[in-house]
Amino acid sequence: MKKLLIIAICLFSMSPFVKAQMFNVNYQMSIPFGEVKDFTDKTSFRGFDMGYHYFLSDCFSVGGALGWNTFYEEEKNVTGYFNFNKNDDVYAITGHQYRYINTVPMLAIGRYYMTGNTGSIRPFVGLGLGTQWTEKRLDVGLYSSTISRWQFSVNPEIGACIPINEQFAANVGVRYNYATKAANGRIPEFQSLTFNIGIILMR
Amino acid sequence: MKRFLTLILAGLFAQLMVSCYPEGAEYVEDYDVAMTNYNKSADFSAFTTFAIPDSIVHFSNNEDATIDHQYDDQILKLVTENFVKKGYTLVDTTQKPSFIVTASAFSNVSYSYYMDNWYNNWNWYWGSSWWPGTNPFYPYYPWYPSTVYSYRSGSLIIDMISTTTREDNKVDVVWNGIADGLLQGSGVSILYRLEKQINQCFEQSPYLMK
Repeated sequence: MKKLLIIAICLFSMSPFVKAQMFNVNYQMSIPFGEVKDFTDKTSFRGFDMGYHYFLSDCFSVGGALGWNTFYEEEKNVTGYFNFNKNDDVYAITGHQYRYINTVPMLAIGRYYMTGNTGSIRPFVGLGLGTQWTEKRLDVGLYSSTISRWQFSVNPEIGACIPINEQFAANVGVRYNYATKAANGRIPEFQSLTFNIGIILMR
Repeated sequence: MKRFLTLILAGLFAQLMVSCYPEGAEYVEDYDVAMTNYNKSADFSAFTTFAIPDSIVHFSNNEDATIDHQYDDQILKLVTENFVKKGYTLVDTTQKPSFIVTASAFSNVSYSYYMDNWYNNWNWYWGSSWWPGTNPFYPYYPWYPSTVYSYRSGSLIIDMISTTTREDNKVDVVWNGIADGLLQGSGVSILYRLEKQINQCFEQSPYLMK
């Protein structure tokens, strides 16, 4: 641990010379698939993430990202079938349904930059592994049902970093998000395609 | 300076995210629902005749509330019409109807049902609060009435009770429909919304047919 710390400090202190760090903020748009689409089928335009990437060499970086995506759908005058607490009966409830999925992915990300640290466009492929906290909510009338769980999450991605000047760069990319189902499927298997557009601060 | 800019940027992002978070229900009628439940083992075609009392039982937790019976006739008429449309015949109580229809109105968020079994035991008692925890209607995993504390909510409950005596002498509710919403706006507009939900209760119960 101590060794790691020393290595980290050395690398960090070197960073002004090697431009070895990136701080990244992205706006995200996300298209749901599969069971997520069944629940909230609209494309989400509410999402962002923040990431930090550290270059191990010219071509490889490791880092992490923390994000938030909101999916929403409104269904007017639909009949749904619900269970209530302490009661096994199924109730038919007709009304407006307001459905929400909020998901907060926390990923460790490894990236490979095909053209290394040079070029006006630096394409990369990456893989994010981690967890995502997902909350699923359905409101109908004066009733509301919420469930939230942690899901295991895998996120392959492709993208490009486009340097603007010494300090700033633009980031574009697309990430496929897959997460395992939780709570016996009450939190669905998560699939979405997320588009990133953002800026990078380089050091 | 760079850090400051980053902070501002992050702040703006957060602001953007919060400000465009989806709203959900906007108008009073967006909260209206029609709920129905029935006894799966009941044979609805075996019922033929029904009787209905001439008033609605009102429940309110506010002792000072003046109970307004002015719409009772209209509501009961609508309920009767719906049952007639389903093929049942309205008779007088003296003619031994095969089921009885009751209508109860609850207002001001303080009703609590006691249901150890929905069909067998259909009692109510004056519970402490409608809000989460004590409400047996408190829905499954964890369903809870959403936070609309500043509003009054109201429900009209229509029960279809079989007159056939059960072995355990309990009331045999074979079907019920609940029109549920917020008591906001004029009496007429509430009545209009209520009527819509009452009709919906019957519409979503195709099994209820002579």
